[in-house]
Amino acid sequence: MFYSQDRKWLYQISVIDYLQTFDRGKKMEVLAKRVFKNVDPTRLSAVPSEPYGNRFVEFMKNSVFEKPLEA
Amino acid sequence: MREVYHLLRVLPSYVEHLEKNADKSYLAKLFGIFTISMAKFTPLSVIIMENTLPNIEHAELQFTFDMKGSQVNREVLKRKTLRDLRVDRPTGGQVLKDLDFLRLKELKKFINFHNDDWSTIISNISHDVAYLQSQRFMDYSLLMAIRKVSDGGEEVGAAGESNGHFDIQRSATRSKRQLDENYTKIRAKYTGSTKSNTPP
Repeated sequence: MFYSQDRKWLYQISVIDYLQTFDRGKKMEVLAKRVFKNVDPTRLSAVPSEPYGNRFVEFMKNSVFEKPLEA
Repeated sequence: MREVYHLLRVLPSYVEHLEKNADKSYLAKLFGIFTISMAKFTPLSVIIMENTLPNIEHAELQFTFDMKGSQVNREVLKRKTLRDLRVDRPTGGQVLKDLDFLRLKELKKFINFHNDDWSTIISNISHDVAYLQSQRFMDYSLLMAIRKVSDGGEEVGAAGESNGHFDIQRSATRSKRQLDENYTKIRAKYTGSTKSNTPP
């Protein structure tokens, strides 16, 4: 648990739902979305585990937990 | 079933990861896997995992986010305009997603971490993700519950910034005491005795 700097907010963080692997079903999901919905595959949630994790960390670093400004 | 087999294969490394990073990992802990087989039904596997959102008495749950870093189909409050979001009540336990977070973050300004906390969080998350990548896991989410602390605020501000850590500890012990009290109450209700098992 973490408190915010102004002590108004309390954050609880956890990683959940991590038991999915990039198997045949997921590959089909990507293919289907690419063909039928014409979505850019790199923006989907169904990407292999390596880029998935990298994107996950990048998002957390840049968008969710904004780096606090040095005081 | 396939998930279960994969899980059984990676279990040793999972235990190792959690033992090494006992107080650092944010992975929701796995308590057990059960497969229920009955005649005429296909076997059903049940995985029991830690509830990562325990109720904290002195803080009110404002928002819950499930974030994956993906942008497609990651918005729950699609129909809400910015003005709606500004005046609406907090959504509490309703699970919102990435795009909702990005919008609400701008509006409510609820993200401001201490510098040290920020580094800790990012390093711990990277560590967990590296493990998940090594075992080819994917599709996981970061679950983030944001609570508003009902007391604190001014009181703490008046006491000064420097004893921040002391205050965190104090509220932590207080909520532990409350939990103990509740536990005793519940116990008393079911056993008919008011004797407490918990140390004073």
